[in-house]
Amino acid sequence: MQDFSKKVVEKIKEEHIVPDSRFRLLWKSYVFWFLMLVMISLGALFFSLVLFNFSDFNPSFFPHLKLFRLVKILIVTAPYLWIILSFMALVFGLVAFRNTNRGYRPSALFVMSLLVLVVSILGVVGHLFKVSNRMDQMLFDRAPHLREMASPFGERWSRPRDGMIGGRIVGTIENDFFLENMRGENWRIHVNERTKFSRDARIVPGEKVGVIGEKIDDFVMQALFVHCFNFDRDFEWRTRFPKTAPIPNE
Amino acid sequence: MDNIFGRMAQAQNKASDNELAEAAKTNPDVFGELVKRYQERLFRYVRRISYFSNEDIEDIVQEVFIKAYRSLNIFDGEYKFSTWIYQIARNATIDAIRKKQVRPKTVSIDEDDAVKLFRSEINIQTQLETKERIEIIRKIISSLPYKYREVMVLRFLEDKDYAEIVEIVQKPRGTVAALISRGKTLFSTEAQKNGLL
Repeated sequence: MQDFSKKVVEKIKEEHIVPDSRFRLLWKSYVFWFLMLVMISLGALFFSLVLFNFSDFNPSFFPHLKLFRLVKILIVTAPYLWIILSFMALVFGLVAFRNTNRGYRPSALFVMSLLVLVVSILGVVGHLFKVSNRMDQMLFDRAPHLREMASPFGERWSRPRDGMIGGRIVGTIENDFFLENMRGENWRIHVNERTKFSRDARIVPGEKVGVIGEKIDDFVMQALFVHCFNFDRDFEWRTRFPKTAPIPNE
Repeated sequence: MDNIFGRMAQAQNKASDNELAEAAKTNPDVFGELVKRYQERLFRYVRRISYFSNEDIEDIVQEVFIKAYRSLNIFDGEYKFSTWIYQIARNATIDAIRKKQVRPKTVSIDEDDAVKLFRSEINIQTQLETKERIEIIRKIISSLPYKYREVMVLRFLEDKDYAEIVEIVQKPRGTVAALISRGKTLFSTEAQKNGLL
C-alpha cells in the first residue's frame, strides 16, 4: 500500500476544505433531542388525561363491585384514545432518541423504561396540578364530538346492567331518591340499611352522585353504595341537565 | 532550517492522536501525520470487512480521511481518535457497499487473519498445515452474515475492546456482546461441519 498522506493534505489545501462547524455537524442531533423532549411532554400530557379519566374511580367502590364486573367496566370504558396517544408518544420519543448522536449507546429496553418512568412521573404531576382537568375541558369546548371517544366518564356511569349509574338528584321520597342520569332518564334509587355512603355524599336535590348497586327493574335500582362526585365535570353536565328538572311522580 | 523541521516532525511523532487532531483543526499539515499513522490500519480493516479491490479500498480510505478532516470539530476527545476514525471508516465502507448494490462473494481475509480468527474462536492451539484447511476457514468467515463478521473482525483481528466496538458499530453493548457470541457459535458450527474441529 502506498503512502497517500501527502495526497490527502494536498487535496485538503487545493479544495480549501475546512472543518465544518460543530453546530452544522450536530444540528440534526439537536433537532432530534428537541423532538424527544416534545414527545415526552406530549406523552406526559396524554398520560395525565388517562389518569384524569380514571379519577372518578375510588377504592371504596371495590367491595361493592365484583371483580369480574370491575375489570369489565375498566376495560370497556378505558380512555383508549389517550392510552394509544401516550404509547405513540413513547415510541416516537424512542425513535427520536435513537437518531441523536449518542442514541445508539443504551439498549432500547433501557431507553423505553426510562421514558415510561419520566412520562409517568410528569403525568402524575400534571394530573395533581390539574393540568389534565384544564386540557380536558378545553378540548371538549372545542371538539365536543370527541367526547364519546375520549372521555368515557359518561359511559362508565351509564351502565345500570353492570350496577353503575351516575347523575343528578332531582328529588327524594321517604328513604329513596330520584336520579336523572346522564342520558336524561329518571331512575328511582332504593336506599336501605345496607346502603353505604361516601363521607361527602348528601342526598339533596341538585347533588351529583354515582350509585353502585343492582338493577331491580326498569329505571329502578337498589343502591349498595352512593358516591358524591366532587370534581367539576361541568362540561358533561351542562348539556344534560336543564336548570330545573321536574320531579317524577311516584 | 532542516533542524527546525526535523524537530517539528519529532514533536508531531511524539504527540498523541488527540493532540494532533486538535492541532489539525487549524493546520492541515498536522493532519498528514494522523493519515500516516492510520492509513495502513484502515486499509487492512476495510479489506477485512469488504470485498473491494485494493484500488477501491485506497479510494475509500482517502475519502475517510477527508470526511474525518471535515468532521474534526465534532471530535471532542471523549473517546480515542482511533475509535472515531474506525467509526467513519466503517460507515464509509457500508455506504460504498450499498452503492455497489452487489452481494459480497468473498471478503479479503488473508492466511494470517484466518488463522488468528480460528484460534481465537476455539482457544486451542492447532496446527493448520494445509492450505486447504485455511481456505475452508476463509470461506466460513466470508459466509458469516455481515453483522457478525464485522464485530468479530474488530474483536479478534483489530483487537478492539467492547467499549470501542460499541462506538465503532454504533450499537448498544448488549447487542455487540450478543453478536460476537452468535458469530462465534456460527463459526464453530460451520468449522465442525467441515471437519476442522
